[in-house]
Amino acid sequence: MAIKLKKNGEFTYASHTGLVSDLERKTADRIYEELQESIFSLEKSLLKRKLLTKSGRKIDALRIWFEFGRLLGQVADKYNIIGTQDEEFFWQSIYDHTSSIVQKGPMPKRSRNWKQNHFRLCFLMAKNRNWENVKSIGNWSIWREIFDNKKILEDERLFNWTVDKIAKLRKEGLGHKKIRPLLYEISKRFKRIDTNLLSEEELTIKLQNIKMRKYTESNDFWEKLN
Amino acid sequence: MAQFTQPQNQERDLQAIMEGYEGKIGHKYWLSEAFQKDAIQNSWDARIDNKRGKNWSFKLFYFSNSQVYPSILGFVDSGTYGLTGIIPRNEKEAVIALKRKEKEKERLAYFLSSNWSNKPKSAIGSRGRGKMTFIGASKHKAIYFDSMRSDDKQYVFGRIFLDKDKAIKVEIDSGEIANKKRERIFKNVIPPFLNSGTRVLLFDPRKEIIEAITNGEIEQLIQHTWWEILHKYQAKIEIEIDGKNRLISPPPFLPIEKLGINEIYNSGPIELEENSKLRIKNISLCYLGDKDIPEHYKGLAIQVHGMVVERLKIENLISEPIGNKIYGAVTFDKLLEEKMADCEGPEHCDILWTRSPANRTRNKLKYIIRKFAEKYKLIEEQSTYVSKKQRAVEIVTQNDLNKLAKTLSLIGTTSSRRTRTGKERSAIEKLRLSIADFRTPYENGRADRSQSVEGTYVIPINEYSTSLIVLVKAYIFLQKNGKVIKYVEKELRIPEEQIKVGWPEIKIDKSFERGGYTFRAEMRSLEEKKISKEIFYEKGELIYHPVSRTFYVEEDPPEKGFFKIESRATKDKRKFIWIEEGDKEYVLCYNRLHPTIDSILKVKEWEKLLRDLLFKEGSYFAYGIRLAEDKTLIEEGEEPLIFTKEEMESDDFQTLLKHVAFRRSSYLWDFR
Repeated sequence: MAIKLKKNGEFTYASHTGLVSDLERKTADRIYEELQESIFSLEKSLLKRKLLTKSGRKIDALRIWFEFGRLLGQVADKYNIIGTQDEEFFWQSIYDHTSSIVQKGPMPKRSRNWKQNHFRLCFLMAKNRNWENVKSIGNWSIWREIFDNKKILEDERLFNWTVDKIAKLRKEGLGHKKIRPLLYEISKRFKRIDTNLLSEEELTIKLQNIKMRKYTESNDFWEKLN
Repeated sequence: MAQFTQPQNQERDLQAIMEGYEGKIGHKYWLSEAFQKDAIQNSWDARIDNKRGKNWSFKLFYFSNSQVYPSILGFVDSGTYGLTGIIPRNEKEAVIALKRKEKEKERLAYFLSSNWSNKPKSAIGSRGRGKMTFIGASKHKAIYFDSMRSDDKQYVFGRIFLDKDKAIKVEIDSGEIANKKRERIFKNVIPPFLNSGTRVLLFDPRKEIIEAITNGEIEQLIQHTWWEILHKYQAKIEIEIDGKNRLISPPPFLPIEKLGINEIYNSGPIELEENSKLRIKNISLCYLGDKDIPEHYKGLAIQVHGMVVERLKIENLISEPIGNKIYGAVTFDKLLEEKMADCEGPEHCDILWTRSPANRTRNKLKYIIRKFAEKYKLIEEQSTYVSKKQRAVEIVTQNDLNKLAKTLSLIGTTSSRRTRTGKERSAIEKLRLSIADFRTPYENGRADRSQSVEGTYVIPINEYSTSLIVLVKAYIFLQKNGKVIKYVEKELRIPEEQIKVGWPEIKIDKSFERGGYTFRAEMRSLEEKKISKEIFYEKGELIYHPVSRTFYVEEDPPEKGFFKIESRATKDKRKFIWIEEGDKEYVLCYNRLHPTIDSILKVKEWEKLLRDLLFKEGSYFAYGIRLAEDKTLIEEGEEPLIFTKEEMESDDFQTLLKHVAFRRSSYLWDFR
């Protein structure tokens, strides 16, 4: 596997092995072209639907990033990129394709850590979720709040559990401000734990215990959670 | 009991203030410079459009002797608030106005008083002594003023003067009486106000100021002081001499781009410290080559709120004669600008550079200017190639000096002290990772190709009686992009399996690109287990804070200490061993060509001799810098860290040097 991307203004084929075969080069070219075309079409469609203005103002940021996430997920799945050691190069390469109306300036500092890459986060948001599910969590700033917790992003199971929990609480009318303590509580609980070493069952028990602990403190907010 | 205000000889006060200006400005036209600076500054601070000064204008006028009147000097502004607030009828009412909370509205009361200022720190003139220059500019020590006020649209007219009892007195009228008084004294020479604004007038100005007005010098003074607002906001400043108006145009020398010269530099924003909110907005520098810089523009203009407060001599900043061929300006972001305004001298003609953050700002300026001079090869001296052995001596000495700097609590030219957050690691923890055997070929962590880094492994240690299953991960990554180049993980039961995890030796071959690398290891529990009364580990829990060591392939590590040592080569006889400001540290430079050093490098035991020399000389600088920083602390009302207040009482250089030498001697006594 290799990914074609621009480095210091020149094209390069990035691979964790450092070696790129002809076949890998051809596949990388295909991925590059596909990304080029599909991102161009998406941007055009966003402009046409007035979700985005020519000056780069995002009328509905959540919808824009959801559509980016869904599109990139389709490409990534098609070429089996997710989970490979070259996944980071894929997310890095997206910045070669987005126009300045979507992404002003160079890749932001935060995206340099590929797990925090903005487009990877969009992909995680849209993965296995339809627009209604995504919308039910709240606007882009709530999603941003979730993404700001590195710990939650380290384990997809933890991420999905958190998002599902927030969706449930939102249905019960929980406001934006009250989501922050929940995120904080989860991050704090697993601060020193690598949840990837836990089985599904072990993780579930630990997550349930967070609720129990808080519930006994008769906190209104956590009562709702239960 | 009798109680009264202490009689004051305000003539003397006035004289002292004027002498202060004369001393600070230090050129023939000092009075004109102070006059225009204070007049425009007061007016600019009172502008209604606080952002861009829209509709603001200022006119300086001069009417020479006529048959009817003596000569008149004055200035008038528009687009300003005028002298607003309470119109005091006596001293008591003036004091009431001065003490009101809404200071900024009491412009009149503050104008009439002395040493009170209503301006926030963010305003340029905030000491309340500027108007003294107006009184001092008049032969009769008197000024007239009038104003159309924006708050109540009232007109006020009055006089401030030094009376026979050596006291500064005030007369003021408002409304129709004020109008009539103006007409009686000035006839038709000055027109009534149409919009809000303020005017100051004086009869018989001193001849120094008349000369500057009639020979055009004042125009130059205004241009070089106010170039920023003239350029940025197209501020309208005029001069009228006997009815003839001249609009002051922006000068051709600033901003530096105007000259169309290639050798220019704009730094853009620079943080004073890492992650600091205090930022220099821009440092612009220009090298004029064989052309001469006009006298008024020589140096680096320190801009505060659109005005040049001071021009720092660049040749002094970088200790290089070529400095007089470089000029430019520095602007600050809002927060730093306010702090710099706090560091201004009372005449607004200089910055007190010993104060913080002015001292740190100057260090940054020195560094940037030196880099600029180096870029255009304006400095003859060059960094010289040093052999690996010589570099090793430098590194060892650097470490010794940095230890000294640490004991003196010196923390670099700009960096602030870093505090470690999170749980502290203890070397005596019973469950830990040992990384004791890590070695690089050079003491500073450098490793070149074909050399090896040894002991890149950890040993998990468990001194509890209960065994525990752990996962130990060890990996090496390239610092610049986080790319992991080696990785290993082992599941172990400790203490039964206390084995090395990692690599006994890493050979630095071609696959290692140049740069910094980190070897890191962590240990996590793989079971839920209580291993003592108080300690329970969860599965996946980090048992010991990750340990790491760094090494640098084909390069020296970034300097983190207070000192960095560099060899130079210059035939400049002044240069033996000296200090320069680096980006984050001080650079101790030694001149390879200096006969003393040249002779040391030729003898057999040169390594020891060079190390001793650099350390001993460097220690002088360390104590000298500490002394300066302790003086700053005292000025800021804090306790000095090393030198005592008694040691610093005297400003006599010899005495201070003696204290530095004594302190240094005590340290050397116990050293090694």
